[in-house]
Amino acid sequence: MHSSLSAADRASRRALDARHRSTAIATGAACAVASLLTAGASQVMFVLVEGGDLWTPSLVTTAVGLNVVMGVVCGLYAAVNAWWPRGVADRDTLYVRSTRALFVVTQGFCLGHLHLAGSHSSSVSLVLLAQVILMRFFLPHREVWAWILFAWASAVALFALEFAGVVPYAPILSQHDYLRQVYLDGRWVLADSVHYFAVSLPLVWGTGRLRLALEARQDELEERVAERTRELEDKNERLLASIEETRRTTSALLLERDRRMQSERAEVEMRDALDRARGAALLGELAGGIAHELNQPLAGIAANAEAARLLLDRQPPDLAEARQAIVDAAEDERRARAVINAVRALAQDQPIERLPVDLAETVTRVVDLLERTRPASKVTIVVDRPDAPVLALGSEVHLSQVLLNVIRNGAEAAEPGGTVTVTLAITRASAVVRVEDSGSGFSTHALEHAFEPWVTSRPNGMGLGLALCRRILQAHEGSITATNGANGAVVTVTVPAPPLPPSAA
Amino acid sequence: MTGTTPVVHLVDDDPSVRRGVGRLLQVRGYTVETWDDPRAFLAAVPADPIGCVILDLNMPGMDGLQTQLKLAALAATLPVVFLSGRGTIASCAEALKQGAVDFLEKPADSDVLSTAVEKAFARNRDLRAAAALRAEADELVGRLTERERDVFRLVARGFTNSETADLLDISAETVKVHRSRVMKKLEADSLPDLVLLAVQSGLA
Repeated sequence: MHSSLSAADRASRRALDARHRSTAIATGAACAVASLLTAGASQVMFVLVEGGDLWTPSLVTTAVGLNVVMGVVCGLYAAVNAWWPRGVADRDTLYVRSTRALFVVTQGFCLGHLHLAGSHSSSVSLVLLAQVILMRFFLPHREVWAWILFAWASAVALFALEFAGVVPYAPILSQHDYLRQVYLDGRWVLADSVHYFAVSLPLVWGTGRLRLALEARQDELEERVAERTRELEDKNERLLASIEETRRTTSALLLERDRRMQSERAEVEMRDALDRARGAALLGELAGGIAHELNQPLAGIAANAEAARLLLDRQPPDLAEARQAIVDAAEDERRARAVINAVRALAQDQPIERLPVDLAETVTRVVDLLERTRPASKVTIVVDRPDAPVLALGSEVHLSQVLLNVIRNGAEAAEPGGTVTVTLAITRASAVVRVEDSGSGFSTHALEHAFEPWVTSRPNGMGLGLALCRRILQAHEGSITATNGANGAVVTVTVPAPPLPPSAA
Repeated sequence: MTGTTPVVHLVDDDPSVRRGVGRLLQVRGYTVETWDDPRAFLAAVPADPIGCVILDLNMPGMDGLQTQLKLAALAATLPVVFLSGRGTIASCAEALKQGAVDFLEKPADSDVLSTAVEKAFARNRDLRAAAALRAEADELVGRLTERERDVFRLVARGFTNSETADLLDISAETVKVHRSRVMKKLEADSLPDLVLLAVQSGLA
């Protein structure tokens, strides 16, 4: 308990202990002084009545001696109360018991006076018995003042009864007639009462102070205990909260870890599944694309054929419109055939015969062809070529197809009035053709998927051109890349150069 | 796009389809308008269109499902028939969930297409009739004050005058007065008329 007290608690306890100690000392001292003073007063009174020397030994002197003993007892009481080991409960009990003991001692001495003075043994014994019974069983321990008042009153009552002759009065020491005289004329009674009262007063005062001090300490302690309890409860609550918080955090972390592990596992599984599915998916994608590309013209053919039939069934038949429907159906059929041809070209995997090809010449021919077949186009095609031939190792037919595709794409992407710039260059091991148009460039999506089949940015494009180009260049061990340049889309075609004789470098 | 003749709007980016299917529908007697761009179609669609729309699923710029959603916000009474060359089960389910009348594969049989268009026309008629009723009911209910509307709603739900009075914390007498005003304003002769109006206006 001590160790758990705070510094403030300990300081408060020290202050209370000091108060308690001083009160105890003051009480004991006051009782002792009162005993001595009243004993002295009795002796003076005896000398005045009987005459003779103040120091003459007498019965009263015996009483004075008893009072001195009593003063010592009071001093002991004070000392025991002041320096008893610490501990509230113990001190409280000690206070009650020692006060009671002090009282009994005081009573004993006072009643001894009575006996000496001539009261009958039986009356004194009865009064003492009544006092002890009342004290022990009827008056609260702490109400010492009430004991003292009672004791005093009972003694006075006994004197009064004796004086009135109601109670037998038989001095033990009958040779001292003076006692009888002074006693009976009331002076002794008065003196003894004063004596009694004088001893009682400091006792009442001291015990009252002590009680107040103890109660104050009790209250303060209870308050402190309550406060400490609150603090502890508070701390406990915070601790519980923090434990709960930790628990939650921990479980959240565990959950997070589980989740992450699970998602990693899922990712690995998904990758495997993707790898497995990729082949199948590519096939499915290709098939789906072919189906879509064919279904459009087929829908046109079917609808036109049905329309033509209905038109011919009319009375009279609408021949002109039926004819137009058939012409449109034939056009759709051509479109379907083109799709099939493109797919077939993509699917072909024949070995390519590779010979040195001058890409500069190929580009010139392709541009000529484009300008002839697209006379309405308002796009200017600029060719920037070195004077030397730009030699590549490959199949001229296939490479023409690649260049035609790429340059036509550029021409279609460029706005009317725009330009397509074709730049040819030779690096150490390759021939490079860079085609830049002045269009809007590739979107992010288009950049990522530019070479996949069925991906197109043109309204009626099939999305096979660049896929076919990539396939051809793969067969040539070359490459094709798409980026966005300063003006628009840039497509770069790289074809390995033939091992050159020094003269051609 | 005006008048009372139902119009089939054919929205498809593919010229073969527009030409062929458009002609076939015309030959079968429908008034057809073709659109190569769904955005142009959405920009031109009137508030209360008569007819239906045939939508392609895969179109550059805005696909068929997106177009369907936009259309529902613009002109909810125009039913949608999908005509797709590359439909998936997922897109088909989505289209039907979004209220499409039918989901056809290209090339679609002429009779099947025609049936779908007829079904869409019927749906269009129903939706327009319901919308007209609702508009009429809304117009009538709009005449009521707020308190009268409260009374109307509770009475239409079958609460008695005294129950309505308790719920609205007013006296039964007041409810009676409100109720007779409601009947008058809504041009209703009986309680069933009131209930019908409440249902049509979506209040009950």
